[in-house]
Amino acid sequence: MRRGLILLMIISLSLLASGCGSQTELNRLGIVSAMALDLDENNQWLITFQIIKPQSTQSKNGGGGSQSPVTVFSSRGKTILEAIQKSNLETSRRLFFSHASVVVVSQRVAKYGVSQLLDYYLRDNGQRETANVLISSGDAKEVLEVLTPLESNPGNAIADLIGEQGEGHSSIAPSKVHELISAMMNPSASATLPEIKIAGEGKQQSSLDALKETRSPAVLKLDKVGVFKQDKFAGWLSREESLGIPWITNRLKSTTVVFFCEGENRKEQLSSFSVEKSRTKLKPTISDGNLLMSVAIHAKGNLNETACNLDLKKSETLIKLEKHIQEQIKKDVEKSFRALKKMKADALGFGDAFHKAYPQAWKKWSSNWENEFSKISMNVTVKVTIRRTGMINDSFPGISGKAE
Amino acid sequence: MKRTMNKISQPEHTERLSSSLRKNMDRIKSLTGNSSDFITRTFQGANGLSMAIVYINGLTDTTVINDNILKPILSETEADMAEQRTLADSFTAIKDIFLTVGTTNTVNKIDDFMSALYNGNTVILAEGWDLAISASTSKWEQRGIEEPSSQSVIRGPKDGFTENINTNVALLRRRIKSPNLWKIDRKIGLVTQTDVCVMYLKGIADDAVVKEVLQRLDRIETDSILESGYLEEFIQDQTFTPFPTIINTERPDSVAASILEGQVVVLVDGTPFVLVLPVTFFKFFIASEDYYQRFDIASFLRILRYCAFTVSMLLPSLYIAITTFHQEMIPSTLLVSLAAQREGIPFPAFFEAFMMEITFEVLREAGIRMPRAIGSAISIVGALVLGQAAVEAGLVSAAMVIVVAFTAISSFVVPAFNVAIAARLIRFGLMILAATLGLFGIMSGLFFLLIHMTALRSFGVPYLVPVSPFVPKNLKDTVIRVPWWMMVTRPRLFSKKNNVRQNVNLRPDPSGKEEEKS
Repeated sequence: MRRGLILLMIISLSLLASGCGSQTELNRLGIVSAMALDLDENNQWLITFQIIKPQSTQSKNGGGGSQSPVTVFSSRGKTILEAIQKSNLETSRRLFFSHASVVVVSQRVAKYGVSQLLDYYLRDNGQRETANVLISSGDAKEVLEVLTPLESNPGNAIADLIGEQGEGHSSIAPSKVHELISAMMNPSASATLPEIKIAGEGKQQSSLDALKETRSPAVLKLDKVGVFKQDKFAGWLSREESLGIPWITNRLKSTTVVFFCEGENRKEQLSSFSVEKSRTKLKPTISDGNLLMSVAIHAKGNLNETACNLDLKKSETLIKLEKHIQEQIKKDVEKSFRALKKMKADALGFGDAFHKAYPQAWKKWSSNWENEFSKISMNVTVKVTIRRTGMINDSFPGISGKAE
Repeated sequence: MKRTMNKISQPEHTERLSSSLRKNMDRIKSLTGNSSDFITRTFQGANGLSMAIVYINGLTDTTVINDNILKPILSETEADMAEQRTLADSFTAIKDIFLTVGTTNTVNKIDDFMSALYNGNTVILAEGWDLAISASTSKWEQRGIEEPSSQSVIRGPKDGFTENINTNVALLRRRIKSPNLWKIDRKIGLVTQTDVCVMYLKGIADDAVVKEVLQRLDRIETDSILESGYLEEFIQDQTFTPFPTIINTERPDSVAASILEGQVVVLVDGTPFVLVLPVTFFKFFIASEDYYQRFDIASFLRILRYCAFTVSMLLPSLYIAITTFHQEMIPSTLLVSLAAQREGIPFPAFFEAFMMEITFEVLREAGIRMPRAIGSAISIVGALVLGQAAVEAGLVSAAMVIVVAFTAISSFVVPAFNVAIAARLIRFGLMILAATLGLFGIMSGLFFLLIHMTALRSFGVPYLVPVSPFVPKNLKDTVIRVPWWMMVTRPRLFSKKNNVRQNVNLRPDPSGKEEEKS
């Protein structure tokens, strides 16, 4: 009896003593959907938060639609955490970062180095390493002010942009925090991050009125690819220059290759080849002391569009088309390689391949991999298989009999 | 501190009937306080013997008394009388020759005399006998066999136990036509003298369990047993637990099945609820219909029941824990929508949930207690006022109403009502833990429950068999039910000996290979 009473007291007191420490009711939370980092002139962090306004999604009371789905505000600090702490001075709610799916860093921050940001992400238990990191060539905070017409939550919309793109168009660089971290942990490799940019008049898109129009004054758009050396931004690859990277790194899931059906020499009509499956093998070799990387790509897919008059029932035609596709892929790959070589940034995983193949020699190269990388020559062989040609055989001009 | 029971005045066990008819009659009248339903009729027998019959009005069949007792005695012929030279002769003649009723017994003690009356017998006395004849004439108004209201099935027998113990025993006898179905009678309750009987299948039930049950029954010294619930609390292993360790059911088919698996059943007169023991936790999730429906459907439904039980126990506490401590676990879109619903709710999630749960419990209790005629009012009040209106008034969030409603529905899925109640009680404890310690609190609560459940015993059988201790052979009929032809053995631990239930090769084989072989 006595023992039971004491036990009961211990249990009930410990329940009270827990004091509901980390307890927060849902309506006391400020759910951060996206975060932007800028550096101001004095090298102070300017952190911008995009916070979801839950009441705006409530359609019942007619509240939905009349107010903006998110609110954006910034705070300044000498460190990232200080800036976040200072945000308490101007927001009534506890900021909750676990659902922040996007972190936008300005080019200035990227040039300064992202290691401080990554350190904070790894150290803090409220932050998620699955958030996407994007670079903005202008002010990062402006990206968060743009409203998206289809998604009520712009932060999620940006994350979906990358997610959806990853499915349908593999040319986007991997951009999750943990992917960035593992790329930066490798001293010989370079990380890449996609650029997010505001196409159009960004200021106009920050008001709800913009959502009432059919064509938005501004849209958020993924564009170039930023290349890092260690934790610092090194330069941009244009959209065309970035196309070859996923081919070489074997990350390509699906993409569309546009090619001339009569080959480079007769630039007449275009066709599209959609890749369904692709496999790339890297084979590093040394010939006469020079490093040579053989890249063997095997892509399979469908011919989905053609403007040319082709007899697709003949296998010779398909073999010819395959050859043209191969040329196109090879061109893309070489373009990317040339651009990265010029930048001396190995975003292609060549360092790892040479490290594995020549562990002894690697010791010599590793200290100066940048220069070694710029001297590598690449030998690309592409094999393309057209598996299907869609639901019709002959091209439309052939069927209608108009051609020739 | 030992208290002895304060016995009310009762005839001594040893008090015998007197040979004087007048004395006996006076004794009966003084014992019963001259209660008017005790009918006594004195008359002159055909042989000039002054006699009396005593019976209780309402417990007896007057036609039987008139036609089969009074008529034969009063119409004895001269020749019959000539043979009865002594009083003893007249006694045996009446008992063995003249009475045309099913059973006659000799009674010589006041005690037995009274109990014969209470059982609806008619007792015949005569001047000069120090014995009496009790003739079975019992017949009283009783509820017929109806469909059990507490456990209904879609497929399966629709008869249910009644309040009459003899009917109930008969229902079991009709199902198990074996001389091995043994029945041991007891009378428990010093005042109520309730008939209690223990039934089991000799040779299959564990004798130790039978012995233990009888021992626990004999220990009971109370004035009354009005329902099997009284007995259950007297004989169960552990009182301070939310989990029942004895099953009660009003379905004869499931009781018969339990007997056939080697369990022991206890029937109590006056209630349709029969106790089945020993049981394990998983037995409470088995509906008798599981064995009548196809095995795949039955297995699916069983898994569904386990899930529903877990939901009814955990859902509100999980909701509280996740929305107040672990918001990172909710998908972003859902979080925003939940947060939107909570905008403007003045109470913490725990209080909100607690309020709604209590409201629901009140509704449920009101639904059971209140007169049938105003039953529809409850659903209107419950559904409209407390659900929709509470949300619109901003007292509770819509998500909370869904959580509470789903919890409530889930708790009705478990076939055994007493386990469902256990989940209801535990739910509140877990909600408090969730509100103070989050998921950690729920986990510690569940561990505590698990430890408690592994320690429970039901008449020597561990409560969590066959999971802990692990008995792989019993798993065939726990979470899933295998087809009948695969259930070769009875559950171990209930029936330790004679384990085999049926032949091994009973799998239907339409190809006729079996016949070719033989």
